[in-house]
Amino acid sequence: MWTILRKDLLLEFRTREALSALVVLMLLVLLTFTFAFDPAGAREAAPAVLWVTFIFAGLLSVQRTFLLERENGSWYGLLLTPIDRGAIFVAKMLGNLIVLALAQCVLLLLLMLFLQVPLPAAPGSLLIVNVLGLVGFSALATLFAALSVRLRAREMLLPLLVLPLLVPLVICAVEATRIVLAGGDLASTGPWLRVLVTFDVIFTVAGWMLFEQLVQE
Amino acid sequence: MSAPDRLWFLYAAYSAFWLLLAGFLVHLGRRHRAVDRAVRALEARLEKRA
Amino acid sequence: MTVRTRLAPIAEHVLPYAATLTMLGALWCVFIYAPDERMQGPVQRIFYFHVNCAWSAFLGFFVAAGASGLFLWRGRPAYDHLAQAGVQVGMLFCTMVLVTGPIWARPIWGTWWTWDPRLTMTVILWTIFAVYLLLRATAHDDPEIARYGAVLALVGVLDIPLIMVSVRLWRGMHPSVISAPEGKGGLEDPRMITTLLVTLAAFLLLVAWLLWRRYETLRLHDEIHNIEDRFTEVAA
Repeated sequence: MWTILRKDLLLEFRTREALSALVVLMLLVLLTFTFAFDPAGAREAAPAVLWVTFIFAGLLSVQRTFLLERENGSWYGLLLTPIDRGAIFVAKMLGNLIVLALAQCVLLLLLMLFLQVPLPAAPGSLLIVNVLGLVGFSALATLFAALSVRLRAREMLLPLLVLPLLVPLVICAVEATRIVLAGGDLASTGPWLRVLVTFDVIFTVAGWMLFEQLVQE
Repeated sequence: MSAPDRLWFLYAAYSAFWLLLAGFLVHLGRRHRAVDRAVRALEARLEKRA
Repeated sequence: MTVRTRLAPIAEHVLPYAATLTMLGALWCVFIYAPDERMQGPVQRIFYFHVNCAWSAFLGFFVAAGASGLFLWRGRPAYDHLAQAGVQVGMLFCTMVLVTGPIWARPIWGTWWTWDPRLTMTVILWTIFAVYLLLRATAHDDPEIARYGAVLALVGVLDIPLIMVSVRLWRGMHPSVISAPEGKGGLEDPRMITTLLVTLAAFLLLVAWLLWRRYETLRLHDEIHNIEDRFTEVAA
């Protein structure tokens, strides 16, 4: 499992292909949002802008998870290795998580710069909320990237599959971020955070168990 | 809102229900006929071979 | 197969007539037997079918999730057929909820649509299973599609409690302009409860019959495909 993770990350950092494209895409979506909103009002919408930008850019990035393996034929090699399929899922999910987390750090900085969002009183809480949102997103998106990669209409289907399932995550992540940015601490985001944690646990476990069903061939 | 106005909503809701159900039954019937046709095509092929 | 052959005579010869009879009884109850609700007047009679549509939609989706789980575990195509039938019947009733809901809300709440937790949840559920149907339609020739669909149905049903909780919390944060009078659930007359129960029975029979019809057609379709494949094998 660690070998797969290390291989994916090595490939990523050698080329920095996905990460740089992801960051530029996030910047562009963010700019589009700022132009669409009145910049003064945009600060109010900062949590929503943050998560919508992240989800759309993130989906495009996660789409590539299994595409590379299929293109260069290493997929069957990966399946032939005597490791649990669930472990492949966890490795792929962690790889996505790390790339997305790096991009999300940049996105947060850009958000503070462009929308003049002040640094929250408890930056640690902001970090925790973001990590929890990212874990749930990576789990679902990785699972459905594995599902859609074989299909003809995959570019269209992945967002269709993932977006409605992500609704609870979006609601809770946006509300928790709003509270934290307004100066609240972790305790004040209680119910939102609990749903986020439940979401993360359920879909990480579900992905780990169901992934096997998607890669039998 | 007056009572007859409200009755209109009652009838609209139940008509919508029955229309949707009828639509689904038509859809079911179409699928059923498609299967029926396939069976008859198979029978024809069997007879040709026999 | 044995379960199917044992169920077949009941499903074929009893279910449709029983469903029709109870449905007629339910209609009589709804329009004649049940009294007018004091606050809402005759419009409240939409409630009996509306609520049962919602329950039937849930029933369809849970049947689909259960059958999907069994399919992934046992791999028998019959479970996949049942799952597809469940999603389709669930979607039918989910659409009915979304159509009759606004028609009821318009005279009672004064608006066609509010972000009431239940309405919001129904819309999200509808989109999840609409994507299921879309997935099956776009990739119907993929041999793996049954397993993909099963994974989606399972994940979708796992998502239901999370959607419920988060949507409720979210509505708590953004109080609605219309203070929703809890028209639903306030059944003050015993005749209303009887009506609801008769309607429930009618809907259960209807759901069972629709599931059976859809399942049978899917099964026959699949068997015909297998026979055609064997024909071409023999011919080759």
